Amino acid sequence: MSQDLWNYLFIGTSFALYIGIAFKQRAGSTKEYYVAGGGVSPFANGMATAADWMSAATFISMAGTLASSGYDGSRFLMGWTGGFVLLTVLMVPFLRKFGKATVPDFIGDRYYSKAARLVAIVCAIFICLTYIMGQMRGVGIVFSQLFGIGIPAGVIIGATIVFFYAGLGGMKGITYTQVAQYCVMAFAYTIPAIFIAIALTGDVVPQLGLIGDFTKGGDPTPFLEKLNKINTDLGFSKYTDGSLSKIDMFCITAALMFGTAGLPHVIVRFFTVKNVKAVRRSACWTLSFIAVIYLTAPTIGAFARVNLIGELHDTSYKDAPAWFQDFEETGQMAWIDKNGDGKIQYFGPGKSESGKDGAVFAGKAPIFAEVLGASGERLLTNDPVSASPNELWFGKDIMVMANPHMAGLPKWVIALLMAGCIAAALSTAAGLLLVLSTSISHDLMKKVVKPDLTDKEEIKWARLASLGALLVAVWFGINPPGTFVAKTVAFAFGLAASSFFPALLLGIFSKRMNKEGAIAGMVTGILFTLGYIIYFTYLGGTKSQYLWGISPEGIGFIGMMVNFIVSIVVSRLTPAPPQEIRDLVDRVRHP
Amino acid sequence: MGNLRNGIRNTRIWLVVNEKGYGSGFLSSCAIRGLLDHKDTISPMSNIQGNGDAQDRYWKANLRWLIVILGTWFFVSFGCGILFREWLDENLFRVGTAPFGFWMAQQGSIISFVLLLIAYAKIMNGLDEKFKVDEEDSK
Repeated sequence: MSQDLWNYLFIGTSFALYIGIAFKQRAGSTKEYYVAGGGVSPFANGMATAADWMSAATFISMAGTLASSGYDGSRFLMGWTGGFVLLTVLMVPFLRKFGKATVPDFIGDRYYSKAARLVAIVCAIFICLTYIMGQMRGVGIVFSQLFGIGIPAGVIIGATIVFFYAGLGGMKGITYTQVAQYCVMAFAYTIPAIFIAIALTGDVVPQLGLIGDFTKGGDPTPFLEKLNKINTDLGFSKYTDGSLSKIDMFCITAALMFGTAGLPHVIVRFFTVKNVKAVRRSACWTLSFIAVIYLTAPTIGAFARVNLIGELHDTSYKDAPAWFQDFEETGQMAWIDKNGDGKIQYFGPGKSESGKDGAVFAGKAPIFAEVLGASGERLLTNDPVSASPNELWFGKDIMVMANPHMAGLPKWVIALLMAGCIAAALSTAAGLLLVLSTSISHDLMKKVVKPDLTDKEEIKWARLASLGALLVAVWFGINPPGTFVAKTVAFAFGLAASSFFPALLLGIFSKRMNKEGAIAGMVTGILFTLGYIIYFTYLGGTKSQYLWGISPEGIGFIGMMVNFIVSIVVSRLTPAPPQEIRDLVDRVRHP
Repeated sequence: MGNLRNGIRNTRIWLVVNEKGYGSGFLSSCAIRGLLDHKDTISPMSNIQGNGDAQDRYWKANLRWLIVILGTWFFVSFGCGILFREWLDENLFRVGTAPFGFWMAQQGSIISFVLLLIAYAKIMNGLDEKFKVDEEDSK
């Protein structure tokens, strides 16, 4: 059976499964939809929440980031799991008690003001859009791989599917569909890792392989030492050290954590569980299921790096494995034969003249000239960077997908992986799209702009909004603001951290916080962060201009601090909130 | 397209339900009722509501535990994984063959988070029992 056939078989079967479950659940009654949770066990709810939680960025991009930057990639691992702890401990029990599922609703009521609600809606739209961009990029990568086409076409195909998938609508609410999606994702992620762990380290459990010995060919050497040596030999920094500065690492991790706690589309899930005890148990299960994948990601990253270098470095293009040409075809790998020896050389910044820049060519992404070079490679129109001997470029996002190819795993494993990627991207993208369209049609149009909106008009607005959001997301999916999915998504978290987190936290933990403080804080926080991100991604800011060496990914943390300071100062200078708001806060604090 | 319309309508209705609280009969039978509208339902705190002192002590105990949990959270992630990573890599024991700080950043912190949430659930459930603020007691 050919690879394509396997792919279609697995993806087709998984889709049939989701749609089948969705259909079966819908068949009952519409009412069941809302309270489906009444009878959902914390275990099943945990699994479903985990599926909701894990996006294309987690699934596709994180392991690639780990593979290319080693220790630096830990920011995503700690950021997203640690953020879940914050969310569970600081937000979920209280917002659940309050009984409103959207952030603008909570902020509008807690801060007794339409203006606050409006600011929250605008922030929510910015955040969701940025988040969907990352997902669309992820979906695009999967489809480009599936059909052997470029990413732009992949993004458009993916967007069309998401549009109809989001239309099946109930999808998000139907817990059991997500249970199935989680299972597909978990198997798709761990099975390749197990195969590769056995091949490279002789351990069945990948996590033990990572801390064990490298046994493939020759004497066993500690795996990470072997990887460090590979890295330093080629001019990279040690795998276990990374190259980000400590302050940047700290800020990015913090922005991701606090952003997670300010992105509460997951909170909705906790409303479906019986009582607050079950909510806590459910949160434990959710994080455990998330941990299964997050503990595997670093092993995939490390194994993939060993395999990538082993298979490609110093290999002549003609003898390179077939998958290299496949990825070249879809524009996700590129090779420039700088020294004309017909061999692929992969080097880090340490080998370049300046010792800092290991770029293969000028510009962010390769632009292919439709001409083949002396060895049969696709030539680029980008100018080669002659100061660096590095000849191999690859998009970080493809690492997870290339991994089973590199390890020579059976075809069905690769097909399973594709199905997993699609499950991850679709579940999150469709969910976000619904959140976005309702926040425009309901929170914005109905609650703020035009309270006498009829049901029909509201639905019309929701449809327009989701179409509009999708178009914007497609454009940015093709021209992403970050160089890889996880980075784009990190911007969304930075925006959430700098706008919502302080407003929510102070709303629960400080009775003195009033509308003036919250509004001023949210506005300065998000403007500061957004401005910084736009300046450095679109307006040509350079690294040397970074504030205290903090990259745009991490600036959300500083934005959050600005928000806290502004909120507190402004609230102390303006009148305290009315008594009924203080009572409301009191009520929210008790289960 | 029909499906899309359904999906959006569902979400919308769901939001409306959320706002009106337990307007419909089917919801009143379900345990989340108490959460949907705090104004009209008997508060689960009713048994200690009159006693501002107990309420206060419950909240204080809550905050104390939150600080302990968040302190641990900060220590295992930002502390071990970032701030003191180099020192730990060099001076502390290895986990298998991996340097300790690096292992904390990529594996240990996540494992700690899971344990932390389990502890949180246990502690908070215990606290609820001690102060008798169990949701189901009020039903």
